[in-house]
Amino acid sequence: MDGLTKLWMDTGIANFGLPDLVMIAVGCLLLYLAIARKFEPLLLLPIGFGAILANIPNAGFNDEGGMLYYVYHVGIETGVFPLIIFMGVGALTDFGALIANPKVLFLGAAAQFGIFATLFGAILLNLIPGFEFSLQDASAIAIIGGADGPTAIFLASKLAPDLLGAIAVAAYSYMALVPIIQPPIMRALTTQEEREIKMEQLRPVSKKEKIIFPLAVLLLTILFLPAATPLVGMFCLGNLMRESGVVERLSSTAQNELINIVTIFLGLGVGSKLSADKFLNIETLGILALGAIAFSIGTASGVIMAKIMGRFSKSPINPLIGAAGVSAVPMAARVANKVGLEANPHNFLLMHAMGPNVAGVLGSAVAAGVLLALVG
Amino acid sequence: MDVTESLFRALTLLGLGMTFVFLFLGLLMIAVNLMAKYIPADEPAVKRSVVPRKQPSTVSSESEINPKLIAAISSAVQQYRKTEAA
Repeated sequence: MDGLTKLWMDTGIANFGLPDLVMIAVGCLLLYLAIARKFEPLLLLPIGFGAILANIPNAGFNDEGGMLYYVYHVGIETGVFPLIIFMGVGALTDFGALIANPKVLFLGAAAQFGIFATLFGAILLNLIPGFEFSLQDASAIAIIGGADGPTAIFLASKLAPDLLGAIAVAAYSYMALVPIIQPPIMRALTTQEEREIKMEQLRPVSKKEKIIFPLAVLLLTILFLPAATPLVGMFCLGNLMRESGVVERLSSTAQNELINIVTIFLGLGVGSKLSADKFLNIETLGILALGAIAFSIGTASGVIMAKIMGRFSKSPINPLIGAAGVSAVPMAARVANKVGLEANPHNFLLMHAMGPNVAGVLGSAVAAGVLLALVG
Repeated sequence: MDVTESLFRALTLLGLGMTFVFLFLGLLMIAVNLMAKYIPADEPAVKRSVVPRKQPSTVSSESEINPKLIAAISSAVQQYRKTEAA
């Protein structure tokens, strides 16, 4: 009889508490979003599954010695996984559109306003009882507005590891929601004529320029913002591997196998942070709300900056491409293209929007560096 | 730290952060413009074919002709076999 009781006490059913069940339901919700709705499935699927594994009672995935414990400590606490992903993103990024029209760097810069504006929101939330965001927490939450998953995870792992799960989930959910969040803001801030503006064709960019570009970015980072060199350095390494043309094998590994392998573990590691005690609180709701605000402000400031630049620029600028200044490559550029096509079915903005889009990646890495340097 | 103090720090962060992001990307813009000015554009069809294969030029021209040559020969062989079979 004793043995039977002991066996019963070891079953999942006997040990489930309500919080575990709720978190497993959250994991299932993420799986549903990934599989049925195709929301960033590459990340939400492993995150969702990781959340389920992490909340199984008596399985000990998250305890010292458990698999998820090690995945998290080896890859995410150290910042290694997001950086490897960033290298892969660098290897996937073609800066041609940006080099051909470098003005759009300012659009990528303007869209980072969402990040810094959200700091206020996070601090103001402290007035509501139940919220206690430090400036570090606020910075890590605000980076969601950069719409860049690896950057958000990297910064959160450094500044606010306790909030990492919620921040990563919010960042990837909003990136998946780009086609829903952005168009209304873009339409509200532009007129029909502005959306119809055709842009000049981009000049061809030489191979040498493409090779020197990542080195120039790295040099500037070394000189002015060493705190951003982990992110920018890995990004530039990936991009140089791509553009140099002499290490095709490394470049293709970074863009395919390596980024895929690391994505699996990054997702599991983030999922392991979705444990009941850290996720089931009112702060998570605050983070989700602040993320949406950060994203919307970023989109709006990008569009407004594009309108201002259009006033003074010799060549016409379609303000829609400003919205692509929030990173979310390439989704944000596709959205700009789509909204442009609605206004004028012959106006293809995709290549023009790729410029601010990749500028946004650099911009959010720089913003993350600034936050690390000033708050971390 | 009370809320007003935090808000003040956030305001400093906002000012410093945005200024820095703009300065940094502005410098990058200048660098890219300089690059565009001083780095000559690719000559058409220079890519790859010239640089590594300059010396063994006979080999490279051969390898470029090869596919056509092979196609011609194989079609001739096929024709010949057809006539042989008939």
